[in-house]
Amino acid sequence: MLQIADKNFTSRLFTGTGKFSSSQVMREALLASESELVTVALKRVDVEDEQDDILQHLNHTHIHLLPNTSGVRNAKEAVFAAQLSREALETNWVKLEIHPDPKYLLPDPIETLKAAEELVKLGFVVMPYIHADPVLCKRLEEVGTQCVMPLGAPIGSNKGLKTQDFLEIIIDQSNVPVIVDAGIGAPSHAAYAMELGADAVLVNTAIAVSQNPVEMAKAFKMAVAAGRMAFEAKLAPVVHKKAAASSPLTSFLN
Amino acid sequence: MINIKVNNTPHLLKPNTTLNEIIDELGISVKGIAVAVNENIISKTEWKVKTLNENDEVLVIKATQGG
Repeated sequence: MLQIADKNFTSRLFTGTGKFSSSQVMREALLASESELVTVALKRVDVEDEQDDILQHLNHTHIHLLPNTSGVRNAKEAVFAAQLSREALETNWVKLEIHPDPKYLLPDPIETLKAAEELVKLGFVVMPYIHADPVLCKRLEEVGTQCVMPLGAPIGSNKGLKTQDFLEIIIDQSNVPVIVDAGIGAPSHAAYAMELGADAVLVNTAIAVSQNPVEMAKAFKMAVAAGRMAFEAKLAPVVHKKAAASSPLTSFLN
Repeated sequence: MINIKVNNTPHLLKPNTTLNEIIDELGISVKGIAVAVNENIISKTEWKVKTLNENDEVLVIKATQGG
């Protein structure tokens, strides 16, 4: 079972709440995914237009909320956002994401490390979204983040594990759970990440923007479980430059 | 009267209005929100005693969809 800080997770599929066509579809898809850790963002309350409350759709005992710091540009703003989210959602968990460039949404490693250090000191369970940088992952682990969340490809790109070689190094070296976040576009990508030994994956766009988010959520659930099962069972070795018979080569035709 | 801003929108208030009173007056649902005044977070228990001053900038946030 996956443990992060004081929580145990049966499901290794974490999900996001962005980009769903309606709250109803979001709720059904998240329930179908059986995800136990679900991200939310923060926004200013619009006093003139107070409508839907996202929290009512996430009010299930198995769902833990993971507020993110999306929209901040530096460490100072990230710490402020995390403190606001702790107050609003009564959780000390935070997905730390600092990506000032709106085109590629790539995380700023320097500000992320600074903010992570500060947030750990303030008692937060810090889950940092970062590039698949093995050195940065070790630095984050050293300052006390409870996991690392390297990207597979840019956010929302659905390109899969473009950073595979570096994810493998991160998984090999890490003493904290490794959660592949961003870029996972298909259940096969998620299964592959799990086969490589990732502890969990975070999927949002690939589910939310699919033609049928509820069915896609189920597909991801099965893919993540299958990938993990395969990792635990240990894959058969790859054979190069020759074949290896799987049937006995008995000369029954003489 | 004093001038303040709530999420960048100007408001005119009676002096000594508390945070609780302005939240109530604006009809903001208190569940799942956090409030800061001039970038200092004010915890829920302090809302009823925190009075607002001229030029205060109030920030009220809540959860929304995001990945």
